[in-house]
Amino acid sequence: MAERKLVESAKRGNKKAFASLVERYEQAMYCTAYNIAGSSWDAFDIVQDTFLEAFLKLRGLRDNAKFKAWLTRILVNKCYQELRGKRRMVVTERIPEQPDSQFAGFEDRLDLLKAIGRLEPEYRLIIGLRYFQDLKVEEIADILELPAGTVKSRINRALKKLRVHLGITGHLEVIK
Amino acid sequence: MNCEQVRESLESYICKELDGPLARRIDDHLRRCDACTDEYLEMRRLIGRIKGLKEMILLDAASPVEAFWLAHRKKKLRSARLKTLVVGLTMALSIASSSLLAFPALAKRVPALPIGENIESLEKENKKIDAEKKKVAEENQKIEREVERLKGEITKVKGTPIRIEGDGNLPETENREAQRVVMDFVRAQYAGDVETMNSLSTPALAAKISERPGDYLREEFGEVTFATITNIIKKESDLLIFIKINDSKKYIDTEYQEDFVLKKIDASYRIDDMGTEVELPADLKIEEF
Repeated sequence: MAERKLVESAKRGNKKAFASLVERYEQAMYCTAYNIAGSSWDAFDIVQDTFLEAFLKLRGLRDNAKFKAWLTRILVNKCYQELRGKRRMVVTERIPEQPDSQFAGFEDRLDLLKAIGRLEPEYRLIIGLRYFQDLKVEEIADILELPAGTVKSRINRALKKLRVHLGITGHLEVIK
Repeated sequence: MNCEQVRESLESYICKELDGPLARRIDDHLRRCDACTDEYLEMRRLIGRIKGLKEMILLDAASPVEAFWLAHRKKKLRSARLKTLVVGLTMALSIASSSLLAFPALAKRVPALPIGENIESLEKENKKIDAEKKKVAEENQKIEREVERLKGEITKVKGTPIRIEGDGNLPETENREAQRVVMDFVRAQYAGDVETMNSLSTPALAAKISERPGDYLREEFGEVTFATITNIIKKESDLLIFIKINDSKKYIDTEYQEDFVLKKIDASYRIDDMGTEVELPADLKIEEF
Protein backbone atom coordinates (compact mmCIF):
# COMPACT_ATOMS: atom_id res chain seq x y z
CA MET A 1 0.00 0.00 0.00
CA ALA A 2 1.25 3.50 -0.74
CA GLU A 3 2.78 5.31 2.22
CA ARG A 4 0.26 8.13 2.23
CA LYS A 5 -2.65 5.69 2.46
CA LEU A 6 -0.94 3.85 5.28
CA VAL A 7 -0.45 7.11 7.15
CA GLU A 8 -4.09 8.02 6.64
CA SER A 9 -5.17 4.62 7.85
CA ALA A 10 -2.84 4.77 10.87
CA LYS A 11 -4.23 8.20 11.73
CA ARG A 12 -7.67 6.64 11.89
CA GLY A 13 -6.32 4.21 14.48
CA ASN A 14 -5.30 1.24 12.34
CA LYS A 15 -2.41 -0.19 14.35
CA LYS A 16 -1.39 -2.66 11.67
CA ALA A 17 -1.00 0.21 9.22
CA PHE A 18 1.19 2.03 11.74
CA ALA A 19 3.33 -1.06 12.34
CA SER A 20 3.82 -1.65 8.65
CA LEU A 21 4.77 2.04 8.24
CA VAL A 22 7.47 2.10 10.88
CA GLU A 23 8.83 -1.32 9.91
CA ARG A 24 9.98 0.27 6.68
CA TYR A 25 12.34 2.59 8.53
CA GLU A 26 13.13 0.52 11.59
CA GLN A 27 16.52 -0.80 10.45
CA ALA A 28 17.85 2.52 9.11
CA MET A 29 16.65 4.36 12.22
CA TYR A 30 18.24 1.78 14.45
CA CYS A 31 21.58 2.27 12.65
CA THR A 32 21.32 6.05 13.07
CA ALA A 33 20.48 5.72 16.76
CA TYR A 34 23.26 3.17 17.24
CA ASN A 35 25.67 5.62 15.68
CA ILE A 36 24.71 8.25 18.24
CA ALA A 37 24.20 6.10 21.31
CA GLY A 38 27.03 3.64 20.70
CA SER A 39 25.19 0.72 22.22
CA SER A 40 22.54 -1.56 20.89
CA TRP A 41 20.26 -1.39 23.92
CA ASP A 42 20.28 2.44 23.96
CA ALA A 43 19.64 2.46 20.21
CA PHE A 44 16.81 0.02 20.73
CA ASP A 45 15.26 2.25 23.40
CA ILE A 46 15.63 5.37 21.27
CA VAL A 47 13.88 3.75 18.33
CA GLN A 48 11.15 2.29 20.51
CA ASP A 49 10.56 5.68 22.19
CA THR A 50 10.46 7.27 18.75
CA PHE A 51 7.76 4.86 17.63
CA LEU A 52 5.76 5.42 20.79
CA GLU A 53 5.84 9.20 20.39
CA ALA A 54 5.05 8.89 16.68
CA PHE A 55 2.07 6.69 17.47
CA LEU A 56 0.74 9.13 20.04
CA LYS A 57 1.27 12.24 17.93
CA LEU A 58 0.51 10.90 14.46
CA ARG A 59 -2.76 12.82 14.20
CA GLY A 60 -0.78 16.03 14.45
CA LEU A 61 1.09 15.26 11.20
CA ARG A 62 -0.38 17.64 8.65
CA ASP A 63 1.24 16.45 5.42
CA ASN A 64 1.05 12.67 5.05
CA ALA A 65 3.73 12.73 2.37
CA LYS A 66 6.26 13.94 4.92
CA PHE A 67 5.91 11.01 7.28
CA LYS A 68 9.53 9.87 6.94
CA ALA A 69 10.94 13.34 7.64
CA TRP A 70 8.54 13.80 10.55
CA LEU A 71 9.49 10.42 12.04
CA THR A 72 13.18 11.17 11.59
CA ARG A 73 12.76 14.52 13.36
CA ILE A 74 11.33 12.68 16.38
CA LEU A 75 14.27 10.27 16.22
CA VAL A 76 16.75 13.15 16.09
CA ASN A 77 15.13 14.73 19.16
CA LYS A 78 15.35 11.43 21.01
CA CYS A 79 19.02 11.17 20.03
CA TYR A 80 19.65 14.69 21.37
CA GLN A 81 17.91 13.74 24.62
CA GLU A 82 20.14 10.67 24.86
CA LEU A 83 23.24 12.81 24.28
CA ARG A 84 22.16 15.35 26.89
CA GLY A 85 21.72 12.51 29.37
CA LYS A 86 25.16 11.18 28.58
CA ARG A 87 26.88 14.50 29.12
CA ARG A 88 26.88 13.73 32.80
CA MET A 89 29.01 10.67 32.11
CA VAL A 90 32.75 10.85 31.61
CA VAL A 91 33.59 8.97 28.45
CA THR A 92 37.26 8.28 27.79
CA GLU A 93 36.83 6.44 24.51
CA ARG A 94 33.84 4.94 22.80
CA ILE A 95 34.44 1.29 22.12
CA PRO A 96 31.57 0.06 20.01
CA GLU A 97 30.13 -3.30 20.73
CA GLN A 98 31.09 -5.96 18.29
CA PRO A 99 28.18 -6.57 15.99
CA ASP A 100 27.80 -9.72 13.96
CA SER A 101 31.34 -10.93 13.26
CA GLN A 102 30.26 -13.28 10.49
CA PHE A 103 30.36 -10.52 7.91
CA ALA A 104 33.11 -10.40 5.34
CA GLY A 105 35.55 -7.59 6.02
CA PHE A 106 34.51 -7.57 9.66
CA GLU A 107 37.76 -6.02 10.88
CA ASP A 108 37.57 -3.24 8.32
CA ARG A 109 34.02 -2.45 9.24
CA LEU A 110 34.81 -2.50 12.91
CA ASP A 111 37.62 -0.01 12.29
CA LEU A 112 35.20 2.20 10.42
CA LEU A 113 32.62 1.90 13.17
CA LYS A 114 35.23 2.87 15.74
CA ALA A 115 36.32 5.80 13.60
CA ILE A 116 32.71 7.01 13.36
CA GLY A 117 32.45 6.59 17.11
CA ARG A 118 35.32 9.03 17.55
CA LEU A 119 33.46 11.78 15.68
CA GLU A 120 31.63 14.53 17.50
CA PRO A 121 27.87 13.88 17.94
CA GLU A 122 26.75 16.30 15.22
CA TYR A 123 28.95 14.49 12.70
CA ARG A 124 27.78 11.06 13.82
CA LEU A 125 24.20 12.23 13.42
CA ILE A 126 24.77 13.65 9.96
CA ILE A 127 26.49 10.42 8.86
CA GLY A 128 23.51 8.42 10.09
CA LEU A 129 20.94 10.60 8.38
CA ARG A 130 22.83 10.78 5.12
CA TYR A 131 24.11 7.24 4.67
CA PHE A 132 21.93 5.04 6.85
CA GLN A 133 18.63 6.81 6.24
CA ASP A 134 19.63 7.81 2.70
CA LEU A 135 18.17 11.29 3.12
CA LYS A 136 18.81 14.10 0.67
CA VAL A 137 20.64 17.24 1.75
CA GLU A 138 17.40 19.24 1.58
CA GLU A 139 15.58 16.71 3.72
CA ILE A 140 18.33 16.74 6.35
CA ALA A 141 18.32 20.54 6.29
CA ASP A 142 14.59 20.47 6.90
CA ILE A 143 14.85 17.96 9.77
CA LEU A 144 17.76 19.70 11.50
CA GLU A 145 16.42 23.18 10.68
CA LEU A 146 19.73 24.19 9.17
CA PRO A 147 20.59 25.81 5.83
CA ALA A 148 21.40 23.26 3.09
CA GLY A 149 24.89 24.77 2.75
CA THR A 150 25.62 24.06 6.42
CA VAL A 151 24.45 20.47 6.00
CA LYS A 152 26.70 20.01 2.97
CA SER A 153 29.75 21.38 4.69
CA ARG A 154 29.01 19.34 7.80
CA ILE A 155 28.86 16.18 5.67
CA ASN A 156 32.15 17.08 3.99
CA ARG A 157 33.79 17.80 7.31
CA ALA A 158 32.51 14.53 8.77
CA LEU A 159 33.99 12.59 5.84
CA LYS A 160 37.31 14.44 6.12
CA LYS A 161 37.54 13.73 9.84
CA LEU A 162 36.68 10.10 9.24
CA ARG A 163 39.43 9.81 6.67
CA VAL A 164 41.91 11.31 9.08
CA HIS A 165 40.85 8.82 11.78
CA LEU A 166 41.16 5.98 9.28
CA GLY A 167 44.51 7.21 8.01
CA ILE A 168 43.24 7.75 4.44
CA THR A 169 44.34 11.31 3.84
CA GLY A 170 44.82 11.04 0.05
CA HIS A 171 44.77 14.50 -1.46
CA LEU A 172 43.13 16.13 1.54
CA GLU A 173 46.13 18.32 2.14
CA VAL A 174 45.71 19.93 -1.28
CA ILE A 175 42.33 21.45 -0.57
CA LYS A 176 41.71 22.97 2.79
CA MET B 1 35.48 24.56 -12.52
CA ASN B 2 38.60 24.43 -10.40
CA CYS B 3 39.67 21.61 -8.10
CA GLU B 4 38.31 23.27 -4.97
CA GLN B 5 34.85 23.79 -6.44
CA VAL B 6 34.79 20.20 -7.74
CA ARG B 7 35.75 18.77 -4.36
CA GLU B 8 33.10 20.76 -2.57
CA SER B 9 30.49 19.12 -4.79
CA LEU B 10 32.00 15.61 -4.99
CA GLU B 11 29.85 14.18 -2.20
CA SER B 12 26.62 15.35 -3.85
CA TYR B 13 27.98 14.14 -7.20
CA ILE B 14 28.55 10.66 -5.75
CA CYS B 15 25.07 10.66 -4.19
CA LYS B 16 23.64 11.73 -7.58
CA GLU B 17 22.09 14.91 -6.24
CA LEU B 18 23.52 17.39 -8.70
CA ASP B 19 21.63 18.76 -11.66
CA GLY B 20 22.67 17.62 -15.14
CA PRO B 21 24.83 20.55 -16.26
CA LEU B 22 26.83 20.69 -12.99
CA ALA B 23 27.32 16.90 -12.99
CA ARG B 24 28.59 17.10 -16.57
CA ARG B 25 31.06 19.84 -15.64
CA ILE B 26 32.39 17.60 -12.89
CA ASP B 27 32.55 14.66 -15.35
CA ASP B 28 34.67 16.84 -17.62
CA HIS B 29 36.94 17.94 -14.79
CA LEU B 30 37.49 14.38 -13.55
CA ARG B 31 38.53 13.25 -17.02
CA ARG B 32 41.27 15.87 -16.98
CA CYS B 33 42.40 15.87 -13.34
CA ASP B 34 44.08 12.80 -11.81
CA ALA B 35 44.21 14.26 -8.31
CA CYS B 36 40.46 14.93 -8.23
CA THR B 37 39.79 11.49 -9.74
CA ASP B 38 41.77 9.88 -6.91
CA GLU B 39 39.83 11.99 -4.43
CA TYR B 40 36.55 10.98 -6.07
CA LEU B 41 37.43 7.26 -5.95
CA GLU B 42 38.54 7.50 -2.34
CA MET B 43 35.37 9.31 -1.26
CA ARG B 44 33.13 6.95 -3.22
CA ARG B 45 34.82 3.97 -1.57
CA LEU B 46 34.43 5.48 1.91
CA ILE B 47 30.75 6.29 1.38
CA GLY B 48 30.18 2.74 0.11
CA ARG B 49 31.86 1.38 3.23
CA ILE B 50 29.72 3.55 5.52
CA LYS B 51 26.55 2.46 3.75
CA GLY B 52 27.74 -1.14 4.09
CA LEU B 53 27.66 -0.80 7.87
CA LYS B 54 23.89 -1.04 7.70
CA GLU B 55 24.32 -4.76 7.04
CA MET B 56 26.41 -5.09 10.14
CA ILE B 57 24.38 -3.14 12.69
CA LEU B 58 21.47 -5.48 12.71
CA LEU B 59 18.36 -5.69 14.73
CA ASP B 60 18.77 -9.39 15.26
CA ALA B 61 17.43 -9.89 18.74
CA ALA B 62 14.04 -8.25 18.46
CA SER B 63 12.53 -5.44 16.52
CA PRO B 64 11.69 -2.14 18.22
CA VAL B 65 8.36 -2.07 16.46
CA GLU B 66 7.65 -5.56 17.69
CA ALA B 67 8.67 -4.60 21.21
CA PHE B 68 6.65 -1.40 20.96
CA TRP B 69 3.73 -3.47 19.79
CA LEU B 70 4.02 -5.84 22.68
CA ALA B 71 4.39 -3.03 25.16
CA HIS B 72 1.42 -1.25 23.70
CA ARG B 73 -0.80 -4.26 24.13
CA LYS B 74 -0.85 -4.43 27.90
CA LYS B 75 -2.13 -7.95 28.01
CA LYS B 76 1.16 -9.17 26.61
CA LEU B 77 3.29 -6.88 28.69
CA ARG B 78 4.79 -9.72 30.65
CA SER B 79 6.01 -11.56 27.61
CA ALA B 80 7.53 -8.29 26.32
CA ARG B 81 9.42 -7.95 29.57
CA LEU B 82 10.54 -11.54 29.32
CA LYS B 83 11.75 -10.93 25.81
CA THR B 84 13.61 -7.77 26.89
CA LEU B 85 15.14 -9.76 29.72
CA VAL B 86 16.25 -12.51 27.33
CA VAL B 87 17.66 -9.91 24.95
CA GLY B 88 19.41 -8.15 27.82
CA LEU B 89 20.87 -11.39 29.14
CA THR B 90 22.02 -12.45 25.68
CA MET B 91 23.68 -9.08 25.15
CA ALA B 92 25.28 -9.14 28.59
CA LEU B 93 26.67 -12.62 27.92
CA SER B 94 27.91 -11.61 24.48
CA ILE B 95 29.61 -8.48 25.88
CA ALA B 96 31.18 -10.50 28.67
CA SER B 97 32.51 -13.11 26.26
CA SER B 98 33.74 -10.54 23.77
CA SER B 99 35.49 -8.35 26.33
CA LEU B 100 38.65 -10.43 26.03
CA LEU B 101 38.52 -9.96 22.28
CA ALA B 102 37.92 -6.25 22.66
CA PHE B 103 40.83 -5.88 25.08
CA PRO B 104 43.65 -8.19 23.91
CA ALA B 105 45.87 -6.76 26.66
CA LEU B 106 43.46 -8.15 29.21
CA ALA B 107 43.59 -11.52 27.51
CA LYS B 108 47.38 -11.57 27.77
CA ARG B 109 47.13 -11.12 31.53
CA VAL B 110 45.17 -14.32 31.81
CA PRO B 111 47.86 -16.89 30.96
CA ALA B 112 45.92 -19.75 32.44
CA LEU B 113 43.34 -19.37 29.74
CA PRO B 114 44.16 -20.99 26.37
CA ILE B 115 42.13 -18.21 24.78
CA GLY B 116 45.11 -15.86 25.43
CA GLU B 117 47.35 -17.92 23.15
CA ASN B 118 44.61 -18.32 20.59
CA ILE B 119 44.19 -14.58 20.46
CA GLU B 120 47.89 -14.06 19.89
CA SER B 121 47.96 -16.49 16.99
CA LEU B 122 44.76 -14.97 15.64
CA GLU B 123 46.33 -11.52 15.86
CA LYS B 124 49.32 -12.74 13.83
CA GLU B 125 47.00 -14.26 11.27
CA ASN B 126 44.98 -11.06 11.16
CA LYS B 127 48.12 -9.03 10.52
CA LYS B 128 49.01 -11.35 7.66
CA ILE B 129 45.52 -11.04 6.22
CA ASP B 130 45.67 -7.25 6.65
CA ALA B 131 48.91 -7.13 4.66
CA GLU B 132 47.33 -9.21 1.90
CA LYS B 133 44.22 -7.06 1.92
CA LYS B 134 46.37 -3.95 1.59
CA LYS B 135 48.10 -5.47 -1.40
CA VAL B 136 44.81 -6.38 -3.06
CA ALA B 137 43.44 -2.89 -2.30
CA GLU B 138 46.49 -1.34 -3.99
CA GLU B 139 45.97 -3.57 -7.02
CA ASN B 140 42.31 -2.57 -7.12
CA GLN B 141 43.24 1.08 -6.96
CA LYS B 142 45.61 0.58 -9.87
CA ILE B 143 42.86 -1.06 -11.91
CA GLU B 144 40.38 1.67 -11.04
CA ARG B 145 42.89 4.32 -12.12
CA GLU B 146 43.40 2.49 -15.39
CA VAL B 147 39.63 2.38 -15.93
CA GLU B 148 39.40 6.11 -15.26
CA ARG B 149 42.31 6.74 -17.61
CA LEU B 150 40.58 4.74 -20.36
CA LYS B 151 37.38 6.68 -19.75
CA GLY B 152 39.47 9.77 -20.26
CA GLU B 153 40.23 8.68 -23.78
CA ILE B 154 36.78 9.69 -24.81
CA THR B 155 37.12 12.05 -27.70
CA LYS B 156 34.77 14.82 -28.62
CA VAL B 157 33.33 15.44 -32.05
CA LYS B 158 31.85 18.93 -32.24
CA GLY B 159 31.15 19.04 -28.53
CA THR B 160 29.45 15.65 -28.21
CA PRO B 161 31.56 13.09 -26.40
CA ILE B 162 32.02 9.83 -28.26
CA ARG B 163 34.12 6.82 -27.55
CA ILE B 164 36.32 5.84 -30.45
CA GLU B 165 36.07 2.09 -31.06
CA GLY B 166 37.82 -0.11 -33.55
CA ASP B 167 41.37 0.93 -34.13
CA GLY B 168 41.78 -2.21 -36.25
CA ASN B 169 41.34 -2.52 -39.97
CA LEU B 170 38.99 0.38 -40.63
CA PRO B 171 41.15 3.29 -41.76
CA GLU B 172 41.19 6.09 -39.19
CA THR B 173 39.92 8.72 -41.61
CA GLU B 174 36.94 6.58 -42.63
CA ASN B 175 36.26 5.69 -39.01
CA ARG B 176 36.16 9.35 -37.98
CA GLU B 177 34.13 10.39 -41.00
CA ALA B 178 31.50 7.69 -40.35
CA GLN B 179 31.28 8.59 -36.68
CA ARG B 180 31.03 12.30 -37.47
CA VAL B 181 28.11 11.70 -39.85
CA VAL B 182 26.25 9.61 -37.30
CA MET B 183 26.87 11.98 -34.41
CA ASP B 184 25.85 15.01 -36.49
CA PHE B 185 22.68 13.16 -37.42
CA VAL B 186 21.89 12.33 -33.76
CA ARG B 187 22.46 15.96 -32.76
CA ALA B 188 20.19 17.13 -35.59
CA GLN B 189 17.50 14.65 -34.42
CA TYR B 190 17.56 16.20 -30.95
CA ALA B 191 17.70 19.75 -32.35
CA GLY B 192 14.73 19.09 -34.65
CA ASP B 193 16.89 20.03 -37.63
CA VAL B 194 15.29 18.07 -40.49
CA GLU B 195 17.38 19.91 -43.08
CA THR B 196 20.68 18.66 -41.63
CA MET B 197 19.25 15.18 -41.18
CA ASN B 198 18.32 15.10 -44.85
CA SER B 199 21.73 16.40 -45.92
CA LEU B 200 23.38 13.49 -44.06
CA SER B 201 20.99 10.89 -45.51
CA THR B 202 20.72 9.04 -48.79
CA PRO B 203 17.77 10.16 -50.96
CA ALA B 204 15.85 7.04 -49.86
CA LEU B 205 16.09 7.89 -46.15
CA ALA B 206 15.57 11.63 -46.82
CA ALA B 207 12.27 10.75 -48.50
CA LYS B 208 11.20 8.68 -45.47
CA ILE B 209 12.12 11.50 -43.09
CA SER B 210 10.18 14.07 -45.11
CA GLU B 211 7.18 11.76 -45.18
CA ARG B 212 7.13 10.92 -41.44
CA PRO B 213 9.47 13.33 -39.60
CA GLY B 214 7.93 12.45 -36.24
CA ASP B 215 9.42 8.94 -36.48
CA TYR B 216 12.92 10.37 -36.64
CA LEU B 217 12.92 13.51 -34.50
CA ARG B 218 13.91 13.36 -30.83
CA GLU B 219 13.23 16.95 -29.74
CA GLU B 220 11.04 15.91 -26.83
CA PHE B 221 13.91 13.85 -25.34
CA GLY B 222 15.87 16.99 -24.39
CA GLU B 223 19.58 17.09 -25.17
CA VAL B 224 22.07 14.33 -25.80
CA THR B 225 24.13 13.95 -22.66
CA PHE B 226 26.24 11.02 -23.77
CA ALA B 227 26.52 8.98 -26.95
CA THR B 228 28.79 5.98 -27.29
CA ILE B 229 29.49 4.13 -30.50
CA THR B 230 29.57 0.55 -29.29
CA ASN B 231 30.28 -1.31 -32.52
CA ILE B 232 30.97 -0.81 -36.17
CA ILE B 233 30.32 -3.58 -38.66
CA LYS B 234 31.51 -3.36 -42.24
CA LYS B 235 29.98 -4.87 -45.34
CA GLU B 236 31.99 -4.09 -48.44
CA SER B 237 31.85 -0.29 -48.48
CA ASP B 238 28.75 -0.05 -46.24
CA LEU B 239 28.85 0.29 -42.46
CA LEU B 240 26.47 -0.67 -39.70
CA ILE B 241 27.00 1.48 -36.60
CA PHE B 242 25.47 0.89 -33.18
CA ILE B 243 25.18 3.76 -30.72
CA LYS B 244 24.04 3.90 -27.12
CA ILE B 245 22.53 7.22 -26.09
CA ASN B 246 21.53 9.00 -22.87
CA ASP B 247 19.65 12.28 -22.89
CA SER B 248 18.47 14.94 -20.47
CA LYS B 249 14.75 14.18 -20.43
CA LYS B 250 13.66 10.69 -21.40
CA TYR B 251 16.68 8.44 -21.04
CA ILE B 252 18.35 10.02 -18.02
CA ASP B 253 19.26 6.95 -16.01
CA THR B 254 19.00 4.42 -18.81
CA GLU B 255 20.20 4.36 -22.38
CA TYR B 256 18.79 3.23 -25.68
CA GLN B 257 20.41 1.87 -28.80
CA GLU B 258 20.13 3.29 -32.29
CA ASP B 259 21.42 1.41 -35.31
CA PHE B 260 22.56 3.16 -38.46
CA VAL B 261 23.28 1.73 -41.91
CA LEU B 262 25.73 3.94 -43.81
CA LYS B 263 26.37 3.80 -47.54
CA LYS B 264 29.39 5.21 -49.21
CA ILE B 265 28.34 7.60 -51.96
CA ASP B 266 31.25 9.01 -53.93
CA ALA B 267 33.84 9.65 -51.24
CA SER B 268 31.59 10.27 -48.28
CA TYR B 269 29.20 8.32 -46.07
CA ARG B 270 25.42 8.88 -46.02
CA ILE B 271 22.90 7.32 -43.67
CA ASP B 272 20.67 4.94 -45.60
CA ASP B 273 18.57 3.61 -42.75
CA MET B 274 18.32 4.02 -39.02
CA GLY B 275 16.18 3.00 -36.09
CA THR B 276 16.12 1.01 -32.91
CA GLU B 277 15.90 -2.30 -34.80
CA VAL B 278 17.43 -1.93 -38.23
CA GLU B 279 17.25 -5.19 -40.16
CA LEU B 280 20.56 -6.54 -41.29
CA PRO B 281 20.79 -7.29 -45.01
CA ALA B 282 20.33 -11.05 -45.50
CA ASP B 283 23.60 -11.48 -47.37
CA LEU B 284 25.62 -9.49 -44.84
CA LYS B 285 29.03 -10.91 -44.27
CA ILE B 286 30.09 -9.48 -40.94
CA GLU B 287 33.50 -8.07 -40.40
CA GLU B 288 33.69 -6.52 -36.92
CA PHE B 289 36.07 -3.87 -35.67
